Amino acid sequence: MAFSDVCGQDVQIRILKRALERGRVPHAYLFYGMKGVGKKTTAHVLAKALNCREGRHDSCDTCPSCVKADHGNHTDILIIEPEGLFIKVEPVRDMQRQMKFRPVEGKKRISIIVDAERLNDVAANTLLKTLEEPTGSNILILTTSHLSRVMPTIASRCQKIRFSPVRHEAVEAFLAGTRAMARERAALLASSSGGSIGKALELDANPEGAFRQEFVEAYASMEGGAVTPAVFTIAHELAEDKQHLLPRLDVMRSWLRDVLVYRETQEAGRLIHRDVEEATKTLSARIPSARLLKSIQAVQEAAAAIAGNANRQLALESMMFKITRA
Amino acid sequence: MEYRVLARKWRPQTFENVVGQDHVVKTLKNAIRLGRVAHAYLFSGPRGTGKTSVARVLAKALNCATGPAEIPCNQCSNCREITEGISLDVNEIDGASNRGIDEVRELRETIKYAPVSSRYRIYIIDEVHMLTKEAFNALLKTLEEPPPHAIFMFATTEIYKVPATILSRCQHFDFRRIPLGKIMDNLRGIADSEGITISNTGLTWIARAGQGSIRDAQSVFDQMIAFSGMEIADDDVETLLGVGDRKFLYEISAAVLAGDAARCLRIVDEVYYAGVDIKYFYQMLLDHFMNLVMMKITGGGELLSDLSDHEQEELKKQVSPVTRETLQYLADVLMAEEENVRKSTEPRINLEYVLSKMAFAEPLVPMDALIARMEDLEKRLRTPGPKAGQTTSHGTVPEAAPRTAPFPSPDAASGTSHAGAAEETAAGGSGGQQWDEFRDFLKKKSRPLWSKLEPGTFLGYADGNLRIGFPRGHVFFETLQEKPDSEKLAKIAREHFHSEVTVTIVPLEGNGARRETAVNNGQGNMMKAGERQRQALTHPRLQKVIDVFGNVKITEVKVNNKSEPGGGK
Repeated sequence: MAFSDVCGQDVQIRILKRALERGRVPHAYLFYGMKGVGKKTTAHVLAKALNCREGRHDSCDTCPSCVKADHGNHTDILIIEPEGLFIKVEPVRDMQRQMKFRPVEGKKRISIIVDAERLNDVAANTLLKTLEEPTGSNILILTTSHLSRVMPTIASRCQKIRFSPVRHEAVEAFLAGTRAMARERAALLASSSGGSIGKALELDANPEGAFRQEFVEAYASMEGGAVTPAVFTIAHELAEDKQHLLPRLDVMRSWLRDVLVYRETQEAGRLIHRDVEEATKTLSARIPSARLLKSIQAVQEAAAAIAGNANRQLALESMMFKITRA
Repeated sequence: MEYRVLARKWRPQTFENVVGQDHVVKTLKNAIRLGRVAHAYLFSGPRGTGKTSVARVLAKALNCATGPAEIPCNQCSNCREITEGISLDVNEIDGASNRGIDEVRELRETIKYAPVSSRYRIYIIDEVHMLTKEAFNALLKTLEEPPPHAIFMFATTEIYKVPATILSRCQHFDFRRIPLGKIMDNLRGIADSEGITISNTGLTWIARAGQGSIRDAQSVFDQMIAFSGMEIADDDVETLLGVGDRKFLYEISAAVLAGDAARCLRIVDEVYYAGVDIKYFYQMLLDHFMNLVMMKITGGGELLSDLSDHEQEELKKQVSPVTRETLQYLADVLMAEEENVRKSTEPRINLEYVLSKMAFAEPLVPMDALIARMEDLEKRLRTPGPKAGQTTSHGTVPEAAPRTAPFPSPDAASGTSHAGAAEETAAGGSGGQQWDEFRDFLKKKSRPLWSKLEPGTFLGYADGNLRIGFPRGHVFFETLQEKPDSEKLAKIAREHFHSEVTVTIVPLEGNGARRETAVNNGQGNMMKAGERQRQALTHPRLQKVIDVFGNVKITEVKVNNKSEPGGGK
């Protein structure tokens, strides 16, 4: 993989390439931006480019160094990823120990820390001095999708590069090209992805499609605040499946948001759930915005209550009543 | 030679180069000059403000071959070794990696040996807040009375994590955020000596991105140079820094204030695809709405001095048609949702929800405007129907018309015997005016007397005789007839009418008096009506009715002016 294979981050790639060409690569980068837009991929490519034997400020994918990096056994490219919820101090210490020595085979040693916001307190603080003045030939690349959760003292020591969501067209091109998807499906997924290729691939599996369909139908039948059996069915179904509960609430919320957005803007291009577009459109004509806002609020409240350990069944039933009566 | 970022390359090597921490630098320099160097220093403050740098400069100043000198030479081997970080006598310890009690014990072992090649053995412990409780405690005795050749310097961003027992053993210096101007000067200096061209506007943006931290600003500058080369165009700065983000704030507030939810949603989309961290953007939005509120309250000035003139103008324009209450309500809505945004997995939807809610909000009317409107309504309601012709004033202007009506009361007309016809015309026609004028005059002359006379009723003025009616039982009825008041009143009356005047206080009969006050002006009438309603509702007969019938609803209380309190219906 070379820089040209990173999708939809042209400005960011330009920044990196220029730094390479001018020999001004700083000792620490922080790549931030939403999930699934290519931060980690870019970090890999940059690591390869720094050590590539062709020396064209890019990765050639053919020299031994690049091949090793692709196989994940390059001795001078270290990757630290969260184990469970956090990155603990041990891997960071290991990395620091290795950083004391010169790179083994390459020109630079690159340490990539994925999801830097998950560094726990001790690990993050341990990193501070290293990040400020690492020993020669060492480069650190941190990536995060939650910049606000990264310790400010960490962020302050890195050059920060913001990764943008990928434009629909680029996502579509990627899905149709690299993933060899049918054009239509690619277009649909792209517009629902919110600019994240990772999200598009996740959507492809469409984990909550059936549930969403059920909710959409139930919502359509809630005319005049009548409590239908569907209300209880949905509440029950949600409460039963603890694992899928929060993703499902998110689906409900984002679909309700779709109805609101369509009602206000009349632009289908802004919708997240493009595959149920028709139902969204018909409903948006009937349901006043105030009611939609109340419904969204009900879902949010329920999610917060459940996160705070409320009785699931009760919280969800109450939510469904509120949505019905909204 | 390997590339070094600006922040490292331009790390201050003398006290003079430390930016914006004059209070620290001055104290340290004086301490060196006077030979009063403490054995332990603690530097605290926000990131990138020069704590570690000052510690290193101080170490050099103390150990310099020419020193201890206020200005280290940076030439001798001691200075050079410290700069390179290889001095045997200056140990820079990473407090976060060496945080346990074992490391402190080791330190205590080595501290007793004399320095190898310089004056002092200096321990710089950076990120000292990460030491464990045991490590801190193990350090206490050493820190209180270290060997004469040892000096400690601690640096931390989180001073509250350092125990008070450590704090009390150190000289503590608090580093401040660096003002924008000083960061600018520093960057300008770097630009000049690196041969980089950049406009002042671009430099301001970069300096502002540092948010008071010089390292952050330098690191952004570094990135700028890597991106643009030696000539940095403003456009490039804009692209890289996302200066455009602030533009979104103004667009959003304009759309919200215009009540345009659709536009809000479109802007959120744009913000999102620009790659702005929505949670971070939410904070910016909160600040922005607080700025709007602040602008409405203060009309600009110092509190908003962070903003450029252009932005202040824009704020002013946006807040001018809106009430403060509306702005505060909007800020309330934003703040209420902050917690949810912080926890949310998809903050964009939260943002869309909040903004739609704000756009749908009805504009609020200030409380005093509401009260003013209510008062106005009240006044209009109060104006008595049959006397519609006299609605012009409510007693504020001493006009004859509204006052004339009460005067020809039965008591005034026929009460006292020697009231002739001519006299009565005087009282009825211009008498009201005379009375008002007299009262105004009295008010100027003697307020206490005026207030005593105020409840009285003018009965007429003729032949140097001013007659004022008072209910017989009134508090001032007798006082006004007695010595000091009566004389004073007569004197003032003389002055006013420019002739000999006798003032007579005439007693009024009970029933008539009440009528007088009741019809005196609209207000009395209203109060009276309210009081009567209350009386009616608590009337024993009504209570009995309620008792008997049980389920009684009082729908209306009608006040009958002629008779005693009417009943509930």
